[in-house]
Amino acid sequence: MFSFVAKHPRLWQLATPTTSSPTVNQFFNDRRTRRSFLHAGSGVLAIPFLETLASGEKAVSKPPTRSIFLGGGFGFTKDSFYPTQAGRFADIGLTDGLKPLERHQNDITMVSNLTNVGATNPHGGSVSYLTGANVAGTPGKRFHNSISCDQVIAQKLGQDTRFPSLTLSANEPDGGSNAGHGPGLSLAWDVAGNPIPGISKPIDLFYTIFANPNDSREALDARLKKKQSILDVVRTNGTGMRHSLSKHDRDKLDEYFTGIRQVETGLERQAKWADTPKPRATMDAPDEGITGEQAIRLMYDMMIIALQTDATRVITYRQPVGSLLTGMGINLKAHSLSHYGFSQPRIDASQQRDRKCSALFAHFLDRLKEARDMDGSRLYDNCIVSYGTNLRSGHELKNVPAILSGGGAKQIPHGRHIMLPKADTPLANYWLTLMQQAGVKQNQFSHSTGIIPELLA
Amino acid sequence: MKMLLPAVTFFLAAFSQLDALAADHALPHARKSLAPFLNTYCVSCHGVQEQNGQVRFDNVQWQITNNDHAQRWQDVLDQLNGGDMPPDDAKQPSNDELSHALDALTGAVLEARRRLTDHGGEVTLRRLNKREYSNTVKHLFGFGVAPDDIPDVGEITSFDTVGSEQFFSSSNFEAFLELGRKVAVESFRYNLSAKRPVKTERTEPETRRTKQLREKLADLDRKMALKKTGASWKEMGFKDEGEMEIIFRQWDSRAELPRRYLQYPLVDSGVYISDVAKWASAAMHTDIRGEYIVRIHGGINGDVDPLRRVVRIWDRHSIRGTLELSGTPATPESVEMRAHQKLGRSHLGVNIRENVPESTINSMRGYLNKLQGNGDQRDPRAAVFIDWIELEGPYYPAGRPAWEAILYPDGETGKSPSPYIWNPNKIHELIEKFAFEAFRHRQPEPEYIDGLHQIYEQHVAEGMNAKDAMVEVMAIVMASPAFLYHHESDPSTTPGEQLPNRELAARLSYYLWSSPPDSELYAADLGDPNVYSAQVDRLLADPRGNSFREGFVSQWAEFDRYDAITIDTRKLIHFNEGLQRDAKQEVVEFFGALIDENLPVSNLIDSDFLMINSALATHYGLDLPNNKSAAFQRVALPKDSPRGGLMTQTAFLIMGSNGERSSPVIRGALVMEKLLHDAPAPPPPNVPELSSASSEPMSNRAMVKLHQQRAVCASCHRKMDAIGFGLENFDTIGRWRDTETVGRQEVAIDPSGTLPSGEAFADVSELKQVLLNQQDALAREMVESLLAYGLGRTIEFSDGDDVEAILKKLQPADYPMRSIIREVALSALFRSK
Repeated sequence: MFSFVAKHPRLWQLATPTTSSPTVNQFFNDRRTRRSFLHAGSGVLAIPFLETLASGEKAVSKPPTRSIFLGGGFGFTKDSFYPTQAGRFADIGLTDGLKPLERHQNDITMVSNLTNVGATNPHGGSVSYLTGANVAGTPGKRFHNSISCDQVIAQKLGQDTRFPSLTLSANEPDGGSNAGHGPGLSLAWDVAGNPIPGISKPIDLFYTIFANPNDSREALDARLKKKQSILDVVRTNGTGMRHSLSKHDRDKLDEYFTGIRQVETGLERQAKWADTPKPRATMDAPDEGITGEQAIRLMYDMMIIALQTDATRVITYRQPVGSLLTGMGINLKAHSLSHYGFSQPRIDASQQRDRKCSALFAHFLDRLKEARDMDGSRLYDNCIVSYGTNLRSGHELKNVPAILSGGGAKQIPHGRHIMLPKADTPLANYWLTLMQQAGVKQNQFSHSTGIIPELLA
Repeated sequence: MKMLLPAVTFFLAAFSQLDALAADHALPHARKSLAPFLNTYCVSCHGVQEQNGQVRFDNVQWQITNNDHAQRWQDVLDQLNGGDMPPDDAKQPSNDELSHALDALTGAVLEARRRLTDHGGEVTLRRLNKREYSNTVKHLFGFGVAPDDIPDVGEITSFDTVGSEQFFSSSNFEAFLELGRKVAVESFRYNLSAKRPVKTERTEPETRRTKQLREKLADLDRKMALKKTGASWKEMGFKDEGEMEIIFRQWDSRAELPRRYLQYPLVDSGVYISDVAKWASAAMHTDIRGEYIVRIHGGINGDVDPLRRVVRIWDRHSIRGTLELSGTPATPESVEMRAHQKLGRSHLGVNIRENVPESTINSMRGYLNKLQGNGDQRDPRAAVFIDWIELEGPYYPAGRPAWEAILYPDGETGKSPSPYIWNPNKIHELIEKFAFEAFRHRQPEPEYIDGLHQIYEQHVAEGMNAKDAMVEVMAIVMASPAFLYHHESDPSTTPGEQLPNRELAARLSYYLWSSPPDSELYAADLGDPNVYSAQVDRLLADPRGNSFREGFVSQWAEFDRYDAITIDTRKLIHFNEGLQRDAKQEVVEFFGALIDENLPVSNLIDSDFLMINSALATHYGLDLPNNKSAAFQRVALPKDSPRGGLMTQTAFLIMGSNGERSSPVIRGALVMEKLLHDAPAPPPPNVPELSSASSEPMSNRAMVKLHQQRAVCASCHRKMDAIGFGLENFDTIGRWRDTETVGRQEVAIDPSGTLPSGEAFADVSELKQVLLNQQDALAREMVESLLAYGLGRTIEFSDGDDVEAILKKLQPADYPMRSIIREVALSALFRSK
C-alpha cells in the first residue's frame, strides 16, 4: 500500500553529502523569506492553462475521470443550512447556508438521508467518513478502521500517475477531535486501516507537485542510495528486535517496517518518474505559516494544477476548521462553536461559517470550470467532487451533509436536492455509486447494500 | 422507519450455540425490565405472526456474544431513542416504562461492547510518546524537546502510553530522522562544553521606555506649539496632512496619556504597566542543560483590586506562569520563578504584563471600567510597577547527561580529555555505547553497529568532518525501532513470569518518571521483592516524578477538552490567559499533594485544602501568604467553604461549561465518569442539541430539566443533571454565585437535587457527602486508570481479579493516593508481561 508523503527538499539537502554540513542556524532559523503571493482577502491567482501534459509521453485524447473528496470537520447549522424540500434548486431555492453556491446551483447535487451506519464518534466527522467502518466494532480492538474509498479508487485507477493519490490535511491547533475531524491524520486510511498522513502545509504541496532542483536524476540517485543505506541499517535493528517479540507485538512492529517500506516505495516511484519533469512552478512558493482560508484557497489552486498535469487522479483534503474560524475573526474554538445551542451570537457565527464554507466550495468550482483539461474541455467536466462530513449539526451522526458536483460522473445529473426515501441509507452506498462513476468496477464497498439509483436518474 | 440489518432469523436462531462465555455476555438485568416491555409494545408486529423488518422479539436470547449482536441491540436502542418505535399508531409506553427500558438496554449494550473488546490482557508494543521522547532525549543530552516539535503518534483516546492506539507511518520515520539530526546537532553545541558559571543579567526596562516616551512627547508638544503659530503640516514635520489630522485628533491618547504617565513618581527607575507601556521584557542566551531564575523586582501602585496585583510571564511559545507582586513602587520587592529552555530555544526571552485578558491588548480602559467602576478616569491608572527584571543561571541538575558520561568517562565534561574525540579507532565503540544507552541498555545487534559505522566512514570519506558524520549516525539511532519502541520480549516462552530485570526497570521508570531508568535502577536486582519495593519508593520520591503527575493527570482529567473551550473574556472579565494556565496547574498540583502526603483518594471528592497560587487565591477569594515565588501553596480551607476536591476546581468547572454558561449536564457526566467510575453512554447519534423550547428566558436548571421531559433523555440525564445542579453555585469560570441572571432578573440558584438512588442533597456540601459514600468506585476508577497508564493498555473484564486484589489491599487505609500508585507498580499484572 503506497501513500505519498511530502518530502521537503530541505531534508534532502541535509542528507546529501555534497552540501556543506548544516549549521544550527539552518535547522532552526530557516526563515528564507518568500514573497507571500497571496495577501489576506485577495485570493486571485491565475490558473495556468497548460497545453501539454507533464508526463509528455503520449497525448491523451480523452481525459481521465478525477475524484476529489473534501471533508469539513464539524457539520453545519441545523435550521439554516439544510434544504427541507426535495427538487431542483432552481425551483426550491438555496438555503441561507448554501446561498454562496447560487451561481453553481445547476451543477450541484445534495443528498439527504445518508447515514454512516458504523459511525459512533460525535467528534469524528472524518474518521470513518470515507471508510464506513465501525471503528469500535472489531473484537479485541478498541479502534480499527478500514480502507477509505479514495484509496480503493487510487489502487484501481491511480497506477499511471506520478502519485496514486494526493492526501491533503491541515494541522489543527487543538487536535482533530476539537475540529470535528476526530482521530486520524487525513480522510484517507490504508488497506490495513492505518491513517495515511496528509500534506498539511501549502508549501509542502508546492514542493510536491512542482519541479525543483532536487528533482534531477543525479540528485535523486544520490538521495536514493543514501536513504537506502539508512533504511537497511534500521531494518537490521528491527529484524533483530522482531525475533524476541510476541506474535502480537510483531504485528505492531510491522507498522514500522511498513513505514520504511513506504519511504522506499516513494523513492522508487520518484526514481521511475525522475525522467519525466514536473511542471515548472507557476506561482511563488507559499509562506511557511499560511493557514485558514488562505491555505484552503492555495490548496485548491494547487490541487487543480496537480489534476491538470495529471500528476494524480485522486485527491482527498481534510480541510482546516480552527484556523478558518480564527481567520474569519470568530473568536471561538471550533468545538465550542459546534455547540451553538440557542446562543444567538454563536448561531450567527455558525451561520457565517456555513456561508464561508459554501463560498470556498463555490470558489473551487469556479476554478474547476476555468481550468482547461488536456483536450481543451473544462477540468470540471471530468471531475467528481464530493464535499461533506460525517456530522450533521452539533454532534448528530445521522443524515449527514453530502454535496456533489463535477461533470465526471457522467450518469449523474446535477441541480437537485434528493431526499432518499429511506432514512439512514448507508453512506457507503453513496461512495459505491461515486466509485463506479469514477470507473471502479466493484459492486460492494464497506457496508454498502447497493448503489443509490436516485442519483442516476 | 429504519430497517434493521436484514437477518431472517434475527434473534431467534442467532444464538443457537451458547458457548462458555455466554453467561458473561448475558443481559440479565436488561432482561428483567426489557422483556415485559418488548412483549407489551413490540411483539405484536415483531413476533410470531408478523416479523416486520425481519425482526422478531418473541423468542429473544439474552446473550450478546459478538459485535453483530451488539450492533442489532444498538439498532433497537437507536429506534427507541429516536422515537421511531413503537410507531405513532401503536400502543405507546409511558415515559417511565420507556425510560426504564432504555436505561437497561443502554447499560447492557455498553457493557457488552466492553466485554467484546477484551483482548485478553495483552500489552501492545508501544512507542515512546511525546513526553517520553523528550525525557529520553533529556536523559541522554540534558535538554528536552518541546511537544510541538515531536511527530504525532495519532490521536489517543485513553492514555498516550497505550500502544494499540498509536500508529507509525512513513512520514513519522522521516520526521524522527530529521528531529534526531536536530537533537544531535544541538548536543554538540552543549555536551562538549564545561558547565558555565552562574551569571545574572539585569534589565532596567525604563531606560528605553521612559526615554522614548519623553522624546515622543517633546516632539508632539513642539508640533502643537507650531500648530498654534499656524504652521503647515510640512513645517511641523508630518509626512502628510492625513497624519497630522490623525495625531491631533488622537491628542489625548497620544500626548496627554503619556504626559500623565510621565508625572507618575519613579518613572526613571521603572515602568508602570499600562496602555502607555503594555509590558516589560528581558532576554538572555542560555545553556539549555540548565535552569534559570526569572526575578522580577517591582510593586503595586495604590490600593487596587487584588486581581490587578498579578502579573503574567510569557514568551513567544507559551505562558510561563503568573506571579503576585508585593511591595510598592517606592519599596519594591522581588518575586521569582524558574525557567527551563528546550531544544532549539536557547534564547530565553520573557515578557511581563498585568494578568489581564488578551482582549484588552488595544486598551485596558473598558476592562478597568468594568472591574473597578468608571469612577477614576485619570488614565493610565497603572497598578503594576516593574523596577527591574533579572535572569540568572544556569543552575545545573545533579549528575550529568548520559552522553557526556560516555564522551568524558575520565573526568568533567569539556575539561578532561575524551578518548573518543575524534579517534578513528574508537568510533565503532562510541557508536555502540551510544546505541546501548539510547536503547535503554538493550545490546544492539553487531551488524547494526557495523552498518552505522559504515555510514559514518562513508560520510567521512566523502569529506564530512567527524562530528557531522556522528550527527548522521546518532540521527539514525534515534529513528531506529529499538529507540522508538519499548522493547519487551515475548512472554510466551515464560508465561506469567516476571519481566527480565532490564525490561522491568524500563517499565517502572517510564511509569513513574516517563524517563529511562537511571544507573541505580538498571543495577538493582528487581527480582528481589524488597529491592523492587525500595526502588518504587525511591522513584516516587524523585523530582522526575513530576512528569508522571503531569502526564497522567492531564490525560485522566482530559485537559484537551478544557483547552478547546473558549471563554469570552470580554464578558467574563475575571478570566484571562494566565488563569487559564494556572487552573490546569491547580489540578496537577492538587494531585501531586495527594501523592506527596499519601492522602485518601476521596480527597478528589472533597478536601479540606487547596493547592493554589496568587491568581487562583484571588479567583477563589481566599488569602494566600505570599511566598514570593510562582510555586503553588497548600491552603487550608475554612470549615464552611464549599470548595475542596476536584469538582470545585476552576478547570473542572470550566470543562463543565460551554464557555458561555455552566452546563450541569457536562458537569454531572464528568463527575460520573471521573469520580464515580460510571461513565454515561455517549449521546445517541440522532439526538439534537438541547434548544430552548420557548423564547422566554429560563434558568439553567429549568432549561436542563427539559431533557427529562422526554423519556429517551431522562434515562441518562436523571443522574447527570442532578449532580450538575449541585454545582450550579459555581458559574461558568468557577466563581461562587448565589444568583444567576435570567433575562434581566437575578434569580436565586437552586442547587438541590436527588439522585436516582433516592439520595437527596441541598447544596454542594451535601452533594459531596452523598458522593463520598461511593469512594470505592472512585478508588476503582483510579486503580484502573493508573494500571492502564502504567501498562500501556486498557483495563478489561479479564483483569477483574487483579484489580480486585489491589483494591482490597488499599481499602483498609481508605485508598491513599501514593499507595495506589505503589500497589499498581507492585502488582503481578505490572511486573509480568
